[in-house]
Amino acid sequence: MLKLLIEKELRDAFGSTKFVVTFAVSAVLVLLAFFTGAQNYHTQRAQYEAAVAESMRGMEGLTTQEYMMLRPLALLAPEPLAVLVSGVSNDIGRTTEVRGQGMLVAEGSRYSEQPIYAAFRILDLSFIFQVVLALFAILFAFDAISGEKERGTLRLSLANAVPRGTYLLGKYLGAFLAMTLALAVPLLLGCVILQVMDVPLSGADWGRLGLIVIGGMLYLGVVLGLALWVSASTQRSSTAFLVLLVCWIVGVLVWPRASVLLAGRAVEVPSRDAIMAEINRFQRQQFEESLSSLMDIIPRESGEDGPSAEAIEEFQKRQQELADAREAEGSAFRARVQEDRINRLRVQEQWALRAARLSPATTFSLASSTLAGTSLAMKERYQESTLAYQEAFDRYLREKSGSSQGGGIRIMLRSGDEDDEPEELINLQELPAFTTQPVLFGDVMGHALLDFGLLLLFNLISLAGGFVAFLRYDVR
Amino acid sequence: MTTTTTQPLLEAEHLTKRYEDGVLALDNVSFTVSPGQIYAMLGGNGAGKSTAINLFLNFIEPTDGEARIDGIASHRDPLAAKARVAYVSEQVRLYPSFTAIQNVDFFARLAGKTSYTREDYRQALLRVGLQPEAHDKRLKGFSKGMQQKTGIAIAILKDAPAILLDEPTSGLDPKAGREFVRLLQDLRDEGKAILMSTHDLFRAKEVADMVGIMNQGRLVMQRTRDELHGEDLEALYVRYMAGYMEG
Amino acid sequence: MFTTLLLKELRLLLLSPKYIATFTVCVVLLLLSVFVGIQDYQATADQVAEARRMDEQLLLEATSWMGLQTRAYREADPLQVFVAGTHHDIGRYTPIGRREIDLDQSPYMEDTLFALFRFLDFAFIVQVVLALFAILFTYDAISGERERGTLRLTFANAVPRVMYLLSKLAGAWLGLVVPLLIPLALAVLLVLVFQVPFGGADWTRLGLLLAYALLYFTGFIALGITVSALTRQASTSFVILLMVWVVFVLILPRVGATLAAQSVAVPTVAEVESQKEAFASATRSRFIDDMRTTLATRNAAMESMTPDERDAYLEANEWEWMQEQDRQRKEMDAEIDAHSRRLNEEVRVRQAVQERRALAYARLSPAAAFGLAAMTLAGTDVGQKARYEEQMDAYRTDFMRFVEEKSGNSGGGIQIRLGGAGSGGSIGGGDDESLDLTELPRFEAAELSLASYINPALVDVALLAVYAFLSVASGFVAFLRYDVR
Repeated sequence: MLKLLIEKELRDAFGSTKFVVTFAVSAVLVLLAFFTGAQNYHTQRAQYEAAVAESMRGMEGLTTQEYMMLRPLALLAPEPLAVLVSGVSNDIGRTTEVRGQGMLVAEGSRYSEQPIYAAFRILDLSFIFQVVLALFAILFAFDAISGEKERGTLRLSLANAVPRGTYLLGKYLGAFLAMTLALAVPLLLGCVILQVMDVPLSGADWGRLGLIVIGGMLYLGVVLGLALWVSASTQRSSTAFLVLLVCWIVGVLVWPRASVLLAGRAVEVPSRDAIMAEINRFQRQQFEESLSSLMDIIPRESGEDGPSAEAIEEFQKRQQELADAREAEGSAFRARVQEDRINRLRVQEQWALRAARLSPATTFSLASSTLAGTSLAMKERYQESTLAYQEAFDRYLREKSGSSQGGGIRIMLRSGDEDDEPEELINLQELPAFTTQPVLFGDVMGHALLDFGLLLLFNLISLAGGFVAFLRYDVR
Repeated sequence: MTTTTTQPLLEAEHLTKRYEDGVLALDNVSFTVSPGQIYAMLGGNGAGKSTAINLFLNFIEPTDGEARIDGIASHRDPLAAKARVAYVSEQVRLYPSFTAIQNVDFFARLAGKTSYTREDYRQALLRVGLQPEAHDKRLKGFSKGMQQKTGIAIAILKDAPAILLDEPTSGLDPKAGREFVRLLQDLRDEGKAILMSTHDLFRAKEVADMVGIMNQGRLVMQRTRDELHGEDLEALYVRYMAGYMEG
Repeated sequence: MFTTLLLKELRLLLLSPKYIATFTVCVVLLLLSVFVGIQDYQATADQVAEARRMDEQLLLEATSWMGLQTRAYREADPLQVFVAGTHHDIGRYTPIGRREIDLDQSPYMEDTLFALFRFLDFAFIVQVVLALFAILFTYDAISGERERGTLRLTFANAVPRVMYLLSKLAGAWLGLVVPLLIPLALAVLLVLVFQVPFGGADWTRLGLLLAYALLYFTGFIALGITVSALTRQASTSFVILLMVWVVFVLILPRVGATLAAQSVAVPTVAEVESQKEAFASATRSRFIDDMRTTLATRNAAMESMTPDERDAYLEANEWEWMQEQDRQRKEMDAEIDAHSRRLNEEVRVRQAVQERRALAYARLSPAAAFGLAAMTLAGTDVGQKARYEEQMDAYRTDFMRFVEEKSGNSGGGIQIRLGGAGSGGSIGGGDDESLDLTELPRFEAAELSLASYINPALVDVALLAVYAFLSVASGFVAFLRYDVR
């Protein structure tokens, strides 16, 4: 019986012009998203590689005397999945100038560099699912019940020994299957596009992409369930459509924005400027202290050739010790003043996201960006990667030059005879290379689990609501 | 005499329906339809004909009394009851994107008939007078009458002992109407119990073994074909409608 | 007769459930957006004021002119309450000092949470939601009346078609203006209550924004009527209109930008930055090499002298040498500056080409044209960054000249390279007193004339007008040929 009902729904869907047109449009959009995504990936890759090469070239020609002037750039590499689900990847800074020690600030987000894209935003897979396909799903299912009633086929069907539950389940599964089949083709073609255009995706990446699509289908399931519910709660399909349209506007366009804006504002977070000013002040103080302390230990010139080599070595050692102490003090100070802000940011984030998740659209968007590695965690991941790199770079510096880049002022002393030695260039091959922490499949899956659970729950709720409404539906 | 001694297939017993808004749509109505009998319910709009049919199909719950199909009360076991009845609604509009055959096939399967072949469907459609060239056309271009014929074919194919007809002739032209009457008589002769609601006095008199006139939720008159013999049903109808008004 | 028709339209519309729904949604959304916008504006303005105060404090604590640096902040525009535009995507400040201008650290970079779902503003609501409502109001204007049979009934009377269509247009238009104007009036009240500093020019801009919005949705209303006059069934016209809406509002602008990105490659800032850096370090090392050779020649010249002669020789020449070295250093700086300006210019040109293409594609959609016009009007347009950077660059020149003069007066000193983070400049040793900052130039964004908020978007406004005209005209053509049966 259920099979028969599902078959009928499928045939009905594929026979209707409305369905065929909407899904032809979505097929074009999905393909476009994959194609432009792949193109964007290559453009970004090329830009990234050029930037890395330039950064290396910029450091060429430094001599072994000039280790302190090394300023490697930690550049955020483009990720293949980020072009399909852009998340916040265009909003966060992608370039960090790394010093051996001290605070690191990421600069230059893609949107700030190219505001035109900020104005229009980007057409990606998650947008197509979240906004466009949801609307099409509503368009497809809004008259599922009331339309049959208006046609009279509902009476005709229910004049048979068909349990209402089965009938509704048949509608739901049939509509779901119809959408899945209609989307499967462009999605698979999209994967072929990624392959053909050489977008490097590992097995785990494919797995994540698959899960993103599954999440998208779950989300569309919620929309369908909701459409059935509303359709079973209204007598006229035009009313059902109006209600669903308002739901769509609120759930997709308004609630995510409003919830984050309102909940976010409810938690006061101290401004970054105040903290930066405090840190600046502290650094200035440190700088002055360091200057006077260095003046105390600076070796007095003992002859024509300046200080002896031993004295320089001794001075360098003392200087390094002082610098390390100051750096430790400095980083402790920075951690202390930033702690409050970071904690409050966490609270703010929690509240905002909790409120936002009330809308299935947000839940899907969060799930997909988590899986694609472009959620808020992307910023943290990049930050942690740059910090890890800073450590590696600091170790490298200490190994090579015996001193670090942190801790306030430095005085370079040279003994007179050094000038005659041939200058040796820094071997940049030995410089540690920056890599971003990879997105771990298990990790993101763990984080996305909550959202997947929520999407399932939304499905169940909307189905249950649909059942209750349909059992009481007046088929006359 | 067409009255039979067998157990009636459709029974209304003290059937009463009061809607939430207080309107009494059906007021203690009782009648029976036996196999091989056609019962015509006459009455104006809002007389309670559709309510009675809705109660047989359990589309609404009775306030009092019960509607039984083959001895099964519709509101107690709706699925079992509905398995024993075929239904033709007023103004059938089927799935426009399906062909006639596809529509018929879907509803036959929904009725639990899975053994039919394409040929069976064709035969049924021919029997209701749908031209063979229309069988594989989508219903989008079908006229009201053609859709109605398809709906009747669906009811025939269900092959249930009882048939409910809600204004079955409303979309049909005179010629098709006459064909329909012949079809009904065939079905009666096959032993079906048929309950139809109609405005059409002429056809009711022509085909019905029993005629009931309803007004404001009550069954105000019930006569067998023999009792009606020689009487002017139209005059009777007007009298009962008017008389009830006055009374 | 026109009044009869119009009154019928209004009665039909105002009493329908869809009107109540749209009205409620409009009022709630617009008020919410303005409330959030005001909050955001005030937060931004407070942040700028606070940051400036702190910078001032830091300047006061400074003890030397050498390497003095500060920051210049992008200011909040009161109109951003209504049109946030690219405000959250563009950097908040740039360091002013030896380093080049770089407007960086956008609000979204700092508070990425808010970047997740973007902003909710008046322009967005008009662009997306109101356009949808315009369609909802008009999709069954003709086809619906035909289906009901009222169209035949109406034209059984001596009603001119043009008048009938005009009444349809006017009815839907008035119906949609109300849910826009009422919350907007309340929004103005909010603006006054929260004391957002709106000047005379700002009110004019707000009025123009409203005018753009009206022009924009007039187009959609006429489009709805056109499509409904081209179809026989209301459900068909609705599906078509929804598709058109999806394409115009959601798809075309994005696709335009995405396609433009692919057709012109613009180097990233990181790329440009390191190119500049490479050039600068090459120039510097050439300078240092030159100095070394000069030093070597001079040393060679002094080799044969007695210490006394050497002292005298030094005494005689040192000033000149210093001058020469100074001149060379300045030449080097100028060379580096010129190179980076050239690079910047190159990037800007390519970016401009890309932008022009993106805009050309996107402007096929009236939604994009409206968005662009609104952003330009609010000063939160795509060009905002370049505009600010230009002003900030001019300010940097002033600032540096002033600081140089001052440091020149107070006499040089040793130059020490800083290893610490953040401050990254150099400082002169010497006097320990705080500085006299009264004459130090302060950054102030230039007041833009009203014309500069309007003129750049004239194309867009003209396009909006053309779209509106075209859809009205096609509506008439379609309806005059409509088969009323």
